[in-house]
Amino acid sequence: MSAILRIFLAGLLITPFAQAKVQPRTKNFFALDAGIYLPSLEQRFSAPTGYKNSTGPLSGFLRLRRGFHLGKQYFLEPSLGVLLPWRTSYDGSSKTFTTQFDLDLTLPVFVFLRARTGPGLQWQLFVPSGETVRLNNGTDYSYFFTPAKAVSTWVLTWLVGFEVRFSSSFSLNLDAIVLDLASRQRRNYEGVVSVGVVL
Amino acid sequence: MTAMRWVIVLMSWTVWLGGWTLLDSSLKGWEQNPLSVRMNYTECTISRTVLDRIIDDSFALWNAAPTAKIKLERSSEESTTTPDQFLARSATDSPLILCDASFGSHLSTDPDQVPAATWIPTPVTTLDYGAILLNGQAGRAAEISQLSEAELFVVIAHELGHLLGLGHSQDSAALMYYSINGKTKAVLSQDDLDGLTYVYPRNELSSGPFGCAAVHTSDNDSRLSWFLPWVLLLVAVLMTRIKLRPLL
Repeated sequence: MSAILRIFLAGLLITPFAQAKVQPRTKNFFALDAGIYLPSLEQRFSAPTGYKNSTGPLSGFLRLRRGFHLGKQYFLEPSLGVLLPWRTSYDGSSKTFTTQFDLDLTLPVFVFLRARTGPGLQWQLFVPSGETVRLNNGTDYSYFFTPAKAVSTWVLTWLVGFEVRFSSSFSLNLDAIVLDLASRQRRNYEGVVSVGVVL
Repeated sequence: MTAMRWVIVLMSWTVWLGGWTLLDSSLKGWEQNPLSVRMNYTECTISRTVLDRIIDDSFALWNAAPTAKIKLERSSEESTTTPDQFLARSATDSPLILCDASFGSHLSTDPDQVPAATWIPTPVTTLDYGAILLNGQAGRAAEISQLSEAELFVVIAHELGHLLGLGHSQDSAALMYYSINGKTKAVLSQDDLDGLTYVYPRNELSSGPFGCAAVHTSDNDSRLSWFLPWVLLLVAVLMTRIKLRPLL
């Protein structure tokens, strides 16, 4: 059983015990989430059958959330998350920084369980260093290049997630981020498992 | 303190190593999107049906990248360009996929070891001429009919990466690693995705619901340079200053 699945199941098992300590959330708040970012979630939990991308590497994920109380227990939660550490090539010749912006609406399912959903924007910044690399070409060696210019990509996303609250301060967040929701061919699911602390 | 420990543990979790490269340092990729690739089956040593299926699967593999905007498709029109004409740079219907009965001599390579190769004239900035040559040299060990369908799929998907402008990767798990040894299925690694996305970056702020999708923008940095600070400023203001009045 994968480590991620264990964390998920542990979260579900702990949930009923946490219920008694939780008070309904009724005020604006700041929260810091730290956890794991899982690219290609669909491939990670099932044997690959189609010609989609392989599972990417796990990364750390750090996210700052601001909760605006809309009334009752409804909140508007803009958030800004970054993947840490950034991806780096073997020789350090290229770096990729990923930032995730989200604007979610959160609503209570139970006192201890909140659902969130909303649009987002994923920004990836590629910063290569402009080097020439000599690599095996099968029968010989050839020169290949990493360019010098930084390039960005912006992809619209949609987030669906749950926040399991253990106390007024601590929670477990399980989020799925869908890239290119409208395209059956390019649609990709990424996941975030994080522990949140209300600051 | 507990939260800080979590942060430290999680942030030190992993450092991933990749290593994508390009065919040229200032390469910008094909301008056509979708990129229609023509076939010439004349010198092919496997059935056209099998080859079409493998090529379509290879296209689908690269087309599944969510962060890149390029879309590959097989043209309904066949090419009549021969390998000789293509290598003489007289083809007018590039990009192409051709089978080559004189593969070894045309490319000065060993036809017993190399099943396919991509030929793109370098140095190159914007790609506008290129083809994948498949080894159709009968009786040689690396001729394409000697490969299993799975192996040929990996080979063609790898060569498509070159046709799109990617060089070899230093990551042995990547499709663009020089060797297919041990690979029984073609899948894109994060490294392949990063290379493809660099050459064909997707910018949904300037296409689709936010702009004109008909305008090809291979360079979106100028837009980014003024846009990003405003986004960050907006997020910062939202997070610190605004107090929304309860609505419900």
